[in-house]
Amino acid sequence: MVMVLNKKIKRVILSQKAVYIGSIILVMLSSLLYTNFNISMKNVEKNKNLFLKITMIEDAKVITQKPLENISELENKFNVLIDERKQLDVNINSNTVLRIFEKTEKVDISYIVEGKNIESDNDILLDPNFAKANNIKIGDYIELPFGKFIVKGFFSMPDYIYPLKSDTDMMVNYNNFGIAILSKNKINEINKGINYYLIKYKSKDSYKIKDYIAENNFIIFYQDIKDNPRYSFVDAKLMGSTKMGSALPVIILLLTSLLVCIVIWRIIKTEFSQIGTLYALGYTKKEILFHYLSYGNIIALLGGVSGTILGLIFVKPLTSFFISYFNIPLIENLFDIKYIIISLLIPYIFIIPAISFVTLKALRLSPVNLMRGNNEIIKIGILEKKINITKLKFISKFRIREVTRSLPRLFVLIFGITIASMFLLLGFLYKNSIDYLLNQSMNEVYKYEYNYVLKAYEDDNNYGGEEYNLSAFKVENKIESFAVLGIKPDSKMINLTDESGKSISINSVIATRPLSNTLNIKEGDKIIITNKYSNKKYEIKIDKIAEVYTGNNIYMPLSDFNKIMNLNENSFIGIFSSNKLNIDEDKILKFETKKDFEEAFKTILNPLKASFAVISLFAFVISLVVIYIITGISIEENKNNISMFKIFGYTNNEINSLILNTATIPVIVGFLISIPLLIKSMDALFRSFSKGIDFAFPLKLEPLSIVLSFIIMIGIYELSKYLSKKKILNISLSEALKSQRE
Amino acid sequence: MLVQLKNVNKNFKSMQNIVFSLNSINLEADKGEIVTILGPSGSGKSTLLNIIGGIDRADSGSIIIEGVDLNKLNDKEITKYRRNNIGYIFQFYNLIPNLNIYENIEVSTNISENPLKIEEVLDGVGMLDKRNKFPQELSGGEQQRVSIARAIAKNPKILLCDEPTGALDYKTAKEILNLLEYVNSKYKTTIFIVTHNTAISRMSDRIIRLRSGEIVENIKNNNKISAKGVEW
Repeated sequence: MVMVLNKKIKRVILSQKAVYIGSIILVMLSSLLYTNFNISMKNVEKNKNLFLKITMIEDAKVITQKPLENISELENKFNVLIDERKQLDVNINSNTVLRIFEKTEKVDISYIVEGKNIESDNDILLDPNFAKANNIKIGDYIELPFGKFIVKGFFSMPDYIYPLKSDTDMMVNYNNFGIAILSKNKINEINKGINYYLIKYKSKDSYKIKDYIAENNFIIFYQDIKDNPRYSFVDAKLMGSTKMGSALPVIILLLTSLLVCIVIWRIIKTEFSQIGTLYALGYTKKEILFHYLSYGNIIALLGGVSGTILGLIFVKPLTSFFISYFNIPLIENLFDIKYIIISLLIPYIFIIPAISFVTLKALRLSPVNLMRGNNEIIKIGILEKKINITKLKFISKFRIREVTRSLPRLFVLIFGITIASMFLLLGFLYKNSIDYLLNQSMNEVYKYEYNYVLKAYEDDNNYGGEEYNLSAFKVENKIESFAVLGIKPDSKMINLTDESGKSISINSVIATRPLSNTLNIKEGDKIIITNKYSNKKYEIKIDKIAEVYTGNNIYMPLSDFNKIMNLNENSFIGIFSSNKLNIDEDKILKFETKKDFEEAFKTILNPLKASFAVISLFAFVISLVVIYIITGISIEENKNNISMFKIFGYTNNEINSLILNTATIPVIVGFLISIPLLIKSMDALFRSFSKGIDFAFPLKLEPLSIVLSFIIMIGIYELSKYLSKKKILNISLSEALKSQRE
Repeated sequence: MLVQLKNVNKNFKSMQNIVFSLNSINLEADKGEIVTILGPSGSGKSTLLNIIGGIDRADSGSIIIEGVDLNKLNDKEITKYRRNNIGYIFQFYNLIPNLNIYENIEVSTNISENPLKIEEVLDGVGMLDKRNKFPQELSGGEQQRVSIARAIAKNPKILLCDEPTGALDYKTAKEILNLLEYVNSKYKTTIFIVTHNTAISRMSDRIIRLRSGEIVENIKNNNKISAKGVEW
């Protein structure tokens, strides 16, 4: 019997094609996003983990004042692997730096992505992204100050998955910076650069090696792998993308379910008498419920399958994008079937309960009530009753009545517009925030052009510039480490400001905003910090929080820093300068220019442009579908009224204005809600995955961006109105007369 | 003469045959007249009403209203004609459920060039005290009163009533007939009433009887009685 009933499904769907196509598109988008993001991310993550295992990623990196002696003895004693590695930076041209590493055998082993490994001292391995950016191919020769080398292959290295030039950089710039590997012999022959040790722990007590080195040698630099942004950024970025990949489909599906709910309720309402008749004929609730579930079943099936297939098609490009973005080799394609199954099932999980809810709501009525069309169910809402609109013009009254007629519909419309506007504003938010961050850091906070970090403390600054001191610290129970900088109270190179934009004088202890977020500290808090090299503990009181968005730093007067650290009064390890200084290269541990920082920032938006284009397309589709479906339902429900308006002599333009413009206020409200909601949600998202990364994201949305997004949204609204006009035009005058004969 | 129909034809195509809905219709109605159109189902009563109201078009013939032939008007002009000249009363009232009574009347006054005062009209139909109610809160008779108020509020020259009492009980139906009579005398509106109920014809100035799309009787009622006297 139900089979016979189901024959009308096709007819109903064909009569409301746009509504079903719209719902299927929304489900498809959700499944596409879910499959694509989750499978790609999992693939990247699995490949990353496999890569880290194969290449024996270090647990720590240490620079000592004197070379480590008896390495094999230390390895046995602390159950570790130790590899010594040299690195040096070479300027290929005025803008491009190539960081050359010595080939290692035990820890941080290079992985050949393409080509061959080093066979002779004249062979060189290059980072594939750098090679691509600089148009270098395997077999090409590359000229370096100490010889000509043949590019044997491309490689990835576990401690440079995200090859940042400096620890403080936020984005890679393959045009200006790359990594390379030379043979051990060649590096020893060059005999320049810095020398350090890579340590791989093999047991849980292996970390004790650090204390041993601190006692028997002097640690200049020590970095746990977790504190290495070239490694930790990857997790943060993957986590951010995975969270988006899980949250977005759920939000879109929620929206779709609500829309489908409204659509099915509309169908059921028009079919009350049919349901009542079927009831009276002896159909069971279950049979009728199953019939209506078929509508959802079709949406979930078509949307879910097409979305999952499209998602799978785009797995490879997205995986490649992330792989190349992070320089992780694609060792093998590891598809997780679990996500395909979930992607196919998830639309059902949302849509079936939604349809069951509305169908059962109707099935609770008696057959007689249903056959009568259940007139008593048309209730006047509290809002409709209470609202006082007597003084308004008729056209405004009509629109307000129409909007308040169905609160669920109003909610879905606002919700849909809010979600779509959030997508639309996301790209602008990101761009404005980056611009602000760049402008603030470049022009307001960091006034220096060059930053030198020396290998050892010095007392007399004969180089020029402005000297400062620094050391790395940790807080108990937090894995993130941070720098404490001692700077001159009258510093001309660092300008810290508070929330109101006023300069903070550096005669107190000042924490940056990212650090205050990471450690969850506020002004006046006392914290115990532990020096990462000496393990000594200090109690400091945070006097101020500076609105600086880059750097997990605490600033204090240089003299106070030296006093606390038991260093000479004038001791320093770094120099900020406006000009390039003449410092012996062997004395320099790290050198960075503001230009590098700026370049890296400028490239930040490039790889994201495509993502934002896709997200904007999503915004376009979602808002168009939501407005079109809701307007369509409104037209459908007003069919009789529209026909009557025509009989009364309303012109088509007047009817369009009455019916189609009713969504204007909800569209504006949805858009306005999206602004604070986007900022709050993105703030929460960034906070959740930016821990351990030394920058905070100042979320800024310029008025111009808001206006532009609003214009786009209104454009989409106008388009959906334009598409709906035909529906109104097609309603015949006889529609109202037909109801005469009911 | 306010309304003149000359040799009006209208046919519908069914699967294979052409079915005449109206065949060579000729009639006239003066300003302020009440015209009753009687006939069995399918006789073409409503089609005739719709053609006079500019809702439907005749295939041939002339429908002259105040000297203008409706069949020669384009869509815009015919919309304007309906807007300025026609009031329509439906059997099932067709009030907009989410507008209150006052607002339902505004639907009509909103587009009228010379509307009547809503309060005056509502008072006239005895619904002023219910102006803030919604249609669902009213009885069928009350809803039809509002429907009449809506039709006359835009001050039309012609009022078309399609089975105005068809959904009402005897008592309420009589009240509605009284109301139509009151509107006719107060505003001098020409009223066309389509009905199955032959008794209603007694209150009209002219009686037209249709059968299978043809006028079989078109007489002036010389024994017109007041609506109060109509019985069935």
